[in-house]
Amino acid sequence: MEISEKKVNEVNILMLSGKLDTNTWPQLDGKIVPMIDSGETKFLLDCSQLDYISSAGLRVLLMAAKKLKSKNGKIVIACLKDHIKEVFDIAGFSTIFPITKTVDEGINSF
Amino acid sequence: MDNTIELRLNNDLIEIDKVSKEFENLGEKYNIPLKVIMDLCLAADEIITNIISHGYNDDKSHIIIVNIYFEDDILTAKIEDDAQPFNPLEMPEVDVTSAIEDKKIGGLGIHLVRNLMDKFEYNRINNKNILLFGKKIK
Repeated sequence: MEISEKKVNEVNILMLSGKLDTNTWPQLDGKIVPMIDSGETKFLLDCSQLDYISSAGLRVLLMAAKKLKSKNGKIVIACLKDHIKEVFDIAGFSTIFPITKTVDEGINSF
Repeated sequence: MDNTIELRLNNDLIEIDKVSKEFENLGEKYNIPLKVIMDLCLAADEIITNIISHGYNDDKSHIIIVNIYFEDDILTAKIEDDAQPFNPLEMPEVDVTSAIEDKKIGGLGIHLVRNLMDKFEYNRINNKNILLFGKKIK
């Protein structure tokens, strides 16, 4: 998996590409947790290049969202491919994460 | 595909990538929809991670045998391991409706496999766990 990052209007945009799974989750965890700990509260994950997510990846998102909840922050998930959206639906994650069709829509939701 | 593809994995999480790569190769070769291949990769990730992370109570190396084949129009994987007996089909259903504060991740992997696969079967034979999962390719 590769992660690239940029900041737009104080929103940290992390673009994920490849697979977020048992072997790659520490990359995202190692990126996002220190950012949250340093005070960042607005995150958008651009998943347009993400191929799949397993429960190990979902765990990272949940832990980050829990941390952010106590700081009034949030993570918006943008551009999910249909088969990953289905995984979110089955896992019950579509109701706990804001999901947008485009990155711009996500940025404007903060 | 006339034959079975057999992979022999060590009990090391990085070995799961071999299975994903094989599914991806088959996807390209037989023009199988990406969604089917990604769901199979996810199932392999969840099942083999469980075996490697929770199945062994010694520090020895173990071999996990994966056979991949078509059964009619179902692309199937058979996972055979010598870990402790574990039948994922007996895992209780997880509550996926809870709010973020109460949400737990335990059991979610099996929940995903159960919902995404068309075939999900378990047998314990000769002190081995034999798990089958598969998905229709159309």
